[in-house]
Amino acid sequence: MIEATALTKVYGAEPAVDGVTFSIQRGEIVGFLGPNGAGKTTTMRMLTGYLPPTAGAATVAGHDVVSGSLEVRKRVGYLPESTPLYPDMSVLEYLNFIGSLRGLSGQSLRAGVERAIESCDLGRVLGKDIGELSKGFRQRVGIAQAIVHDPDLLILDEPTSGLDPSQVVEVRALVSALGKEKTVILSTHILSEVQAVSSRVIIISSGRIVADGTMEDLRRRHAGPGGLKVTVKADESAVRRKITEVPGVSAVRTRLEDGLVRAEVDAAEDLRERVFRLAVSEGWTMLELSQTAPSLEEIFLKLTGGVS
Amino acid sequence: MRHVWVIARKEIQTYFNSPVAYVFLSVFLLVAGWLFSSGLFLRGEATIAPFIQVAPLLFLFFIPAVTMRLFSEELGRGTFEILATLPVRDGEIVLGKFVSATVLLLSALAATLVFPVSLSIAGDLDGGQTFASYVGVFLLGLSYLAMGAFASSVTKREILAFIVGFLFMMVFFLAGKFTQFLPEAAARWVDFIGIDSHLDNIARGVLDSRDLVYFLTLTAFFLHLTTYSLGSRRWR
Ligand SMILES: Nc1ncnc2c1ncn2[C@@H]1O[C@H](COP(=O)(O)OP(=O)(O)OP(=O)(O)O)[C@@H](O)[C@H]1O
Ligand SMILES: [Mg+2]
Repeated sequence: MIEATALTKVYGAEPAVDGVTFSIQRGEIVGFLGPNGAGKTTTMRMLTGYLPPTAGAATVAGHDVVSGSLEVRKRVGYLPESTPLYPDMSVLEYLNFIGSLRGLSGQSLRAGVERAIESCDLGRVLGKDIGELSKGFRQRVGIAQAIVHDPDLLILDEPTSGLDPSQVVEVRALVSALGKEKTVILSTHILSEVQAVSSRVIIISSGRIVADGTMEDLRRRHAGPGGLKVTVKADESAVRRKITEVPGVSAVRTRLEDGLVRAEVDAAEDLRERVFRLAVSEGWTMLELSQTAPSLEEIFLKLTGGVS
Repeated sequence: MRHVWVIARKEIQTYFNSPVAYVFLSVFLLVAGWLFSSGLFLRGEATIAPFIQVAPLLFLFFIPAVTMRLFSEELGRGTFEILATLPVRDGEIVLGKFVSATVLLLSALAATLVFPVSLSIAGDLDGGQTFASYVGVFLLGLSYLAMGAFASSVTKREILAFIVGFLFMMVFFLAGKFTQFLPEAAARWVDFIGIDSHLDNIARGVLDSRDLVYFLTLTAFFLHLTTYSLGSRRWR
C-alpha cells in the first residue's frame, strides 16, 4: 500500500525527516510514535501529497506522491493535526462539501455521507455548526470527512490529542473499527495509544526511524534484562547493603511491607543466581525472586533518547 | 469545473452568513446613492459619472476587505491542508474563491442599479454611457479582486492580506495620476499600466476592446500568480 524510500524533508537547513524507509501492507494499522518535533506530521504531509519530499520517494497504491499526486489524493483520507474545520458550516453541509470535492454526486454522495455519519455516530449533530461542537465530536467530524469517499488508506495525525479520557476511548474504538477494512496510519506521542489500536509501531525520533515492528518485536529486540524483584524475610538495612555489594547491581530500592522486605534491583544482567546464593548464605527466607522486563515506556524513552 | 462551483457556492454561503457581505453591500449602496443624488441635485443633470469617478477609490477599501479572508483564513486555520489534499487542483480552488467574491461584487453593483433606473425615470439618462460605466466598474472590480486574492494567498494573517492587497491596488490606482511628472516615454507606459486611462475611455461610453483586454489580462495575471503562490509550498 505504501512504500517510502529514503524519504527526506529539509526545512531551511534542518532535516525534519531524514532518510526514512518503510513499507506498509494493505490492511495494517500502523502507529507513528515519536516525541514532539520527531517528524511524524512532516512524513504524513509527504505521503498525502501536501508537501513534496526534498529527497527520496514514496508511493501510495503504486502512485508516486509527487508525479501521481492527484491519484494518491483520490485514494487517501487524511485528518491533519489539530483537526482544521470550518466553524460556520453545519456538519451535514461540511460532509456534503468534502464529498462533492471528492467527486461524489447524487446517490453516491448521499450514500458516502450517510455511511460516514453512521460510522462516526454523528446523527445527533448533523444540523449543528461545527464551531458549536465539543472537541470529541469535532474529532469525529474530522474523521468522517476523511472517510466519505471510502478510501483504502486513512492517515490520521494525532486523532486523540486534546480529548478527555472518555472521548479518547471512543475515538480509539472508532479508529480500530475503521482499521478492520482499511489500512490506517496514525500518529501519536502516547505509547498506550499504539498498544490500544495498532498492530505495528514505527518509532520516529529526530526525523529517523529508530524502531519498526510489532509490540512483541519491540519487547524482544530492545528489552534486555531490566531488573530483579526480590522479597525476603530479613533485616531491611542488611538486605539493602548486601544486595548493593553484589557485582553487577547498579541500584537497590527497598521497602518494608507486612514484615517482609521488598527490594527492586536495577541491573544490566540477569543476577537471579547471585542474589539467590546471597540469600542462602545470609540465611534469609526467600519468598520471591523474579526478573522484570523493562516496560514499553522505558524502551520508548531509551530509543528516543528522552527523559521521563 | 464542478469543483469550482462547489467551492464558490460554499464561499458565497460563508460571505452571506457573515457581516462582511452586508456591511459591504449597505455601505456601497449608501455611498453610491449619495453620489448619484449629489450629481442630480447639485449639477441638475442625470448622470452616473460621479459614481464611476469614485468607484476606484471606493473599491480600494472595500475589495481588500472582501478578499482578505479568501486564503488567509484557511491558511491560518489549517483548513487549507484538507482542501489541498483533496483531488482538486490549486487552480480550481483559486477560481472557486474568485467566483464567490465576484458574486458579492455583482450583488453590490446590481443593488446600485436602482439609481440609474430611477434617474432614467426622472430625467433622461444616457443609457449607453451608463451601461459602459457599469461594465468598466465591474472589470475594475475583477482586477482588484484578483489582486486581493493574491495578497490573501501569501499570508495567513488577514490584516496583512488587506494591507498587501490595498498596496497592489494603490499602485494601479495611482499610476495614471502621476504621468505629468514623468518623461514622455515612461509616461506612456505608466499611463497604460494605470487604470485611469482605461476607465476614462469607458466612462465616456467607449467600450474599446483594448481596455477590456487590459482589465481581463490584469485579472488573469493575478489569478495565475495566486495559483502559483498557493503551489509554492511545494518548492519552498
Ligand atoms: N513549515 C515548517 N517550517 C519549518 N520547520 C518546520 C515546519 N514544519 C515542521 N518543522 C520542523 O520540522 C520538525 C518536525 O516537525 P513535525 O511537525 O513533523 O513533528 P511531529 O513529529 O509531527 O511533532 P508533534 O508531535 O509536535 O506534532 C520540527 O523540528 C519542526 O520544528
Ligand atoms: Mg505533528
